[in-house]
Amino acid sequence: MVYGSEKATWRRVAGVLAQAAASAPTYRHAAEIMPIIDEALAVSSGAGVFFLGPEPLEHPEIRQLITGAVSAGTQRIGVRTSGRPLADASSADELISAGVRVFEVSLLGSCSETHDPLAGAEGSFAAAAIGVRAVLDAAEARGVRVVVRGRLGVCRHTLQDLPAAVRRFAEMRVTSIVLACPGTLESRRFAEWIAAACDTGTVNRVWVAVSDLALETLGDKALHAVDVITMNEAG
Amino acid sequence: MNATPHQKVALVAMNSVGYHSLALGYVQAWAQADQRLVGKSGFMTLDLDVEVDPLWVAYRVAGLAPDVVGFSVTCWNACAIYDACRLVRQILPDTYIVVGGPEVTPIAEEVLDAQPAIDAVVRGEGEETFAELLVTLIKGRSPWRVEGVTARRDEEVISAPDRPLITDLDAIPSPYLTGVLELVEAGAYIETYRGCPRRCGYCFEGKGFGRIRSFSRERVEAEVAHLTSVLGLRSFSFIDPIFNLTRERLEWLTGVMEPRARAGVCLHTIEVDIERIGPEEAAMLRRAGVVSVETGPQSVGARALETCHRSFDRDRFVAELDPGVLQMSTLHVLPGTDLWQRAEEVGLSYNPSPPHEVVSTGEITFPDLRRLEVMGNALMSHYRARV
Repeated sequence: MVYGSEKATWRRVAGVLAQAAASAPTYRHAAEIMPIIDEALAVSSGAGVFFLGPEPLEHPEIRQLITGAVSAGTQRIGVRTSGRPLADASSADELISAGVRVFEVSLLGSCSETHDPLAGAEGSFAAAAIGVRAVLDAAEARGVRVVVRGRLGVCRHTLQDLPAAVRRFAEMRVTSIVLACPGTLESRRFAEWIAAACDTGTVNRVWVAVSDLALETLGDKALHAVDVITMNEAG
Repeated sequence: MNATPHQKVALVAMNSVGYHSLALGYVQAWAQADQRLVGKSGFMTLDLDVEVDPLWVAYRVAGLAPDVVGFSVTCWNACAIYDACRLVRQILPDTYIVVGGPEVTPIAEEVLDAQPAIDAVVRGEGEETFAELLVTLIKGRSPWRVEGVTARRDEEVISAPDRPLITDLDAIPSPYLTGVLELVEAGAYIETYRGCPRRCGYCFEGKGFGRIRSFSRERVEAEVAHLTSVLGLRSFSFIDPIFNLTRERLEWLTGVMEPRARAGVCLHTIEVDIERIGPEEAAMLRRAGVVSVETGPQSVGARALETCHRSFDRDRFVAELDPGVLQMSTLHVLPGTDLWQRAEEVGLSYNPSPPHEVVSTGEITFPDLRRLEVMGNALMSHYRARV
């Protein structure tokens, strides 16, 4: 479920996020989105709903959308977030209470020094780490099973930090990580670092999936082309 | 006043957390009922968790100072038990150490060759054989002559002939009705038959039990009544390989359980053949108080299943499948199974140490298997995260 542009290449991602933070994004209203959810569930009753966008948790009607998705019968609801909104007091618990079970947290580096400049927001790495912890603590307190999934944008700026970022995500106790590659990736230049990131995940017992990269580039790591979540964009 | 037994017998199991060993319950119940042992042998069972350190297993055994100690060995606890046996041998050099169970039965001689601390292996069904072994030891006779036993004679390892299967399972005293088993809420399970109609290459259920033998319905009903009405358990399980073995059997067990289910008793972790569960059978399971079932052919790959001689109705399986929990792991090649014997032929490489996990196959490398394990764990977590 997309309510903003996901088409930007990762070369532009820092700028896009910075722009989103600096200016008020435009939102599609809940009344417009709910029929899309209903339609998706009509086609497949077991479908999950994943809210994407620059920052779905800042959508003014996000609680209403989550409640609506639960009422419509979906059993799996996820959000893709920078993680910052989760650091706000009680936010994580409220989202779990509303029905969110998958939290995909996007990072652009393994630490504040590498992540924050690319994200265009000082303190955003620390906030994301606090947010991940808040989700896991809230879920444990409620006795609810949730998944925190890491998302790492792959570009020339993040490349050499990927293995360390995977390690950092593993320390945060995420369940899986996706390396989001842009379609324009120069495969051979990137293959070595992506392979190292995959191996870092395996030895830390966290699955690393690589999206949008040619199988031949992954070589003997071809299994990492398999993700544990399949997403069909519905709108 | 009771006379002190001549022969102190300790039985040791290392179980999944929260469970007691039904196998050792049977062994003790049979031996206690053997008139030749009455007044001569005293029994104590140690039901320990599989995570207990072998040092503490040896400590507990040493505290009992038994003349004979018997360990129930599965692929999951074998390494820990072998460690414990070595320690017991050092601490109690005169104690006779016996092991039995599915892990050691098919490889009894290899076990004695590799584990000098162990004196004997009870192969196959242990109830009658273990009691015979105790009688033999009391009389100072040769253990290697006891049917179903593999034992040492000086430097040699000798296997006596196999013991025939127990024809009438009701001849085994019930560990529940005799009070041998101390009960734990949700940790008790009842066996209604032995054997399995399937011949899956990876499984030990049908191994050595060529035909299905059942406990009588009266016996099963008495055990259910004892657990629920006398002891007041609210949750237990059946250990049968296939709960819905036949429609008629399912109807009977539903009838036995339904009044208890109405009173709040539930059955957990029942193994079913999901391809034979339609709406009517599902309704019966609900009426029987079944709250969770397990099913799984170990693979959904047609060629893998064919290699394992496992028939599989993929369409029915998928149609009926909406599980609450997925369990995934790499396969373990169990001693005595068809896969164990054909491993080289089908290209399987596995760890020779228990639990004998597959290391690689003809098509999947060791690194890819490790990756699949991590991926499977993530998939299980994602699957469980639902509203």
